[in-house]
Amino acid sequence: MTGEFTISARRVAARYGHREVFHDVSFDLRSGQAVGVVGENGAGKTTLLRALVGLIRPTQGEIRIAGLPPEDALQRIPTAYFAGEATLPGRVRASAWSGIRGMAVVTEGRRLRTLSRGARQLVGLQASLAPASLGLIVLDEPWEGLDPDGARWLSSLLTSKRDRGSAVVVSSHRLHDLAGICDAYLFVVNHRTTYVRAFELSPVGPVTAAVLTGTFDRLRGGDAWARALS
Amino acid sequence: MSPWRFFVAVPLQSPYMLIGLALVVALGAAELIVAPGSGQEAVVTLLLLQMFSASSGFAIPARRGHYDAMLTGGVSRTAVVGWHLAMSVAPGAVGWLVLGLCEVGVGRSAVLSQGSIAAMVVVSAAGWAMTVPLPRLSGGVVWLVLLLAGLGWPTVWREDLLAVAAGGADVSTRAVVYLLCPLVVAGRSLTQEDLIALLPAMTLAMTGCLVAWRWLVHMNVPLEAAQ
Repeated sequence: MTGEFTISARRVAARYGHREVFHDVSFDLRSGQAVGVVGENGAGKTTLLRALVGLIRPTQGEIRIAGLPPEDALQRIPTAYFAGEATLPGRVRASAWSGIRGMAVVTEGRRLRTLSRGARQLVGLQASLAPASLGLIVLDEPWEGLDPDGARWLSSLLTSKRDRGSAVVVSSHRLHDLAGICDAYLFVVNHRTTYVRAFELSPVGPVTAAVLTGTFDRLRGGDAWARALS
Repeated sequence: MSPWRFFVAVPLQSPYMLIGLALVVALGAAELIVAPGSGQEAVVTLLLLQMFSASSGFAIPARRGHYDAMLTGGVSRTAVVGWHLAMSVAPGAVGWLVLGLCEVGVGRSAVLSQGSIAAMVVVSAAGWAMTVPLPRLSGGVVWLVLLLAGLGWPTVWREDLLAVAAGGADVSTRAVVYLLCPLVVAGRSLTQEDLIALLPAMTLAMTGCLVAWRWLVHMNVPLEAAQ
């Protein structure tokens, strides 16, 4: 099943023990669309993305992908999820890791821990995004550590996958990369989220990093650095 | 995604453990050829390693994100856990079967005896289940510490262990000894009393496996760094 489907989150909340991560997250995403998740460090972006792929069950609310809970939906919808190079097992060889989906896309024979951070990130992304037909792509800070060529390759691949029908959810602090590919944005600020469509942010042209930064600052009540310095 | 392909690419045992198991099997097989009655010693050594080999750990690598690709790769959580158990137990079990076939070749059957089968099941299941929430090898280490503490401390326990190893002692004493040290039953044919005495160890190991399995199927997998 890789045809049309919808991801819907309704009043989703997550906690770690007594600590609230976020609450009241609601949004819809259709296949062929991309949503960017923006938030400060520790805002809960990683937790939200893991809940979307069924690795964490929300403490409240529900997530449905094609009408099913994520853990069931992912058995039908080919999915790529990658949470960054730190999640790769260092003792595994790069070529072996890249072949876990049945197609070896990297020939590098060294162990992952001996590669540079950027090279590990690239191997992880290449292995995750290797399948030609992906219904859902969920990436957590995917541009981190990539050189300009790698960043361009990733942006172009995500755009191409989205245009071919994949639903893309991607979190990043690199707003200039995010701005180019997303149809909507989810800002995670003070445990709450605000979902804004691209045309609402910038009705007359493409969304830029400056527009995203301005919106983000407005939502959290100003520039955090400026506030700290004053 | 194929869990088999994943666990071949991301082995649960360290290369040193696999080399250790291969060495034990090779030396055991060589010894069986020279002294066909040495099957029991060989299988006890192998079981000792299996306790550590099966203690592969799940929750910690999962929370580091090492299993993300498989857990989100279209395989049900139940199947992932099943494959993890199978691949944790497999190297020791394969070594045991190889050793058993070598012994059959020289006309003996201590390695594949009823006692060895029971010990292999208890050691493998308990080792895997104990280590599911802990770091790799923890189950083996905990068990070894308990055993050494038991051997070193109360003289009565040491005498019980030796009595059971020699084939004596009553059923309740045997049950306690089999629970703490299932290796003593390796290489033996089991009497009806032995079977009764093995029940607590078998039940505990199997229950532990089921509890661990159920826990893994339902557990949240947050990233360590994200908590």
